[in-house]
Amino acid sequence: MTYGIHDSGLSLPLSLSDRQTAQTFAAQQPTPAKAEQVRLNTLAVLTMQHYLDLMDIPSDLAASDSWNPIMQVCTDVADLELPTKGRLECRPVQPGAQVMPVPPETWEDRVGYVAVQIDEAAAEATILGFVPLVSDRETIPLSELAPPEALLDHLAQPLPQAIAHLSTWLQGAINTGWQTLEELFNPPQLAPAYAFRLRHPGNTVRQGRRIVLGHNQPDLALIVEIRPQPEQVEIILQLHPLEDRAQLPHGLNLAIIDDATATPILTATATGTEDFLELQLDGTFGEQFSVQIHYNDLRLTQTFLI
Amino acid sequence: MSDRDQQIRDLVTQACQHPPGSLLRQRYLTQVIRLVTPRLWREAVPYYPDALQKTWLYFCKNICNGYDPTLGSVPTWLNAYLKRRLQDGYNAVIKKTNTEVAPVRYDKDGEAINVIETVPDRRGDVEPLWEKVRDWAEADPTGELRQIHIKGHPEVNCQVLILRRLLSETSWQALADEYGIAIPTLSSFYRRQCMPRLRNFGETEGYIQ
Repeated sequence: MTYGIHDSGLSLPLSLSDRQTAQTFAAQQPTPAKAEQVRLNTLAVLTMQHYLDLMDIPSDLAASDSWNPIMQVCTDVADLELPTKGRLECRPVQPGAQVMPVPPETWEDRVGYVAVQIDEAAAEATILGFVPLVSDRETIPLSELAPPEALLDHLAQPLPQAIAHLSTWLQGAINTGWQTLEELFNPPQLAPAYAFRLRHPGNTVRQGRRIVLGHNQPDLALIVEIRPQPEQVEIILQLHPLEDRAQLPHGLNLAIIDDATATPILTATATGTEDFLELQLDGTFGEQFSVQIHYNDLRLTQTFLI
Repeated sequence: MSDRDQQIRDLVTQACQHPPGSLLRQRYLTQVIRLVTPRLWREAVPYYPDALQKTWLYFCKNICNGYDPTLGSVPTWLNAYLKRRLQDGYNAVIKKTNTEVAPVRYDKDGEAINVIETVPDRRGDVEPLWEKVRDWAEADPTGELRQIHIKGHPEVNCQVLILRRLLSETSWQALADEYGIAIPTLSSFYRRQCMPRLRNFGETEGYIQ
């Protein structure tokens, strides 16, 4: 029953120029199926652009893949670039739909997903709801979406950038969304002291960020410790529960992914008895790698540039 | 003033206590849009959505400095603006109808010839974009697309994925079944390694500014 979600939806008009833009993009597609896909994606993106404009949130259509003729033809994307925030995926749904389709090429690198119901006959679009993560699913039931205000709440937070620049940490910078351990483990008795005694005090830098698992599990802290060496950088990654005396849930997986091949090079899985998981690697400046946290169907990725 | 009008006015007062772009102002304005929508004037004309779109913009930019509560309710204030935009829309249609006659030329005898301009059909002249992408991916002049592949699977490279995913023709599930690789791995690789190269191709070919 989607009665609830339609109650809290927000309807906005589809102007003539919106529909003309959508039709222009659609006319460039070689098959009817692609034309329909591009037309609806474009209308959904334009609806969100108008809404965000009303809310004084800047957006950049020209920087979005959905506005790029090559990407329109090669992928099913309906993204809207929000400067300093990230990309919002604006998925069109038909009136009466029960699910929001989410193509796999949009599972990563998104600040969130909105479902936009397109009613072309009424020249109207309704923002049905928002979800920040989709966890590798190709369809999300509309009943899982929160009202449009949840998008506003989410964008108002300081969001960590997709790529954390570790070299700036060595210069004392703290990236948005990252914190010192004192700030992250607040109150301080949450911090398991033994794990945080610096092994090599002096030139080690350490920051952490909060990871929200949901599923009634305690939030986690991803701690990254870097120690520059002459030829390389030593990196230690730890994953701790943020709740006092909690254990990491069974099946929680921490992995380091080689970005060049998209495959894991190191992984650790919690059996339910660990206080934390740890992985170490050595990297050289300029290298990029990603850390993935996997729990049930939830997959979170944080990319690092050394 | 009705209860609903008072509720709307209270929300507006709350909204205007916060700066533009702040979360609370955004939330209050969103709620006001929901409540005012059913109270707005409706007309079944083609330019109605455009007039309404302008009205919402006007609302959000001016509610805190252009609305005088002593003059009436918020819906009344907005409807006045909406109707003026609808009038503009109507006037534009009339003007267009009056000027839209076939251009007339006169031949050497002074007779009028109706000249109907035709736009030449250029569709056949230019190679479609998707074909240019296909040709580029198939040719792979530097061999780069074939070289970049999923670890342990040299047959799953960017050339193959770009061609198979062109026009969204082959589903991710079909690719996952065929290669025995999970969809997240395939799509993650495609997004990180193949999509940037597609964008690059677009830039060098001048399709994107």
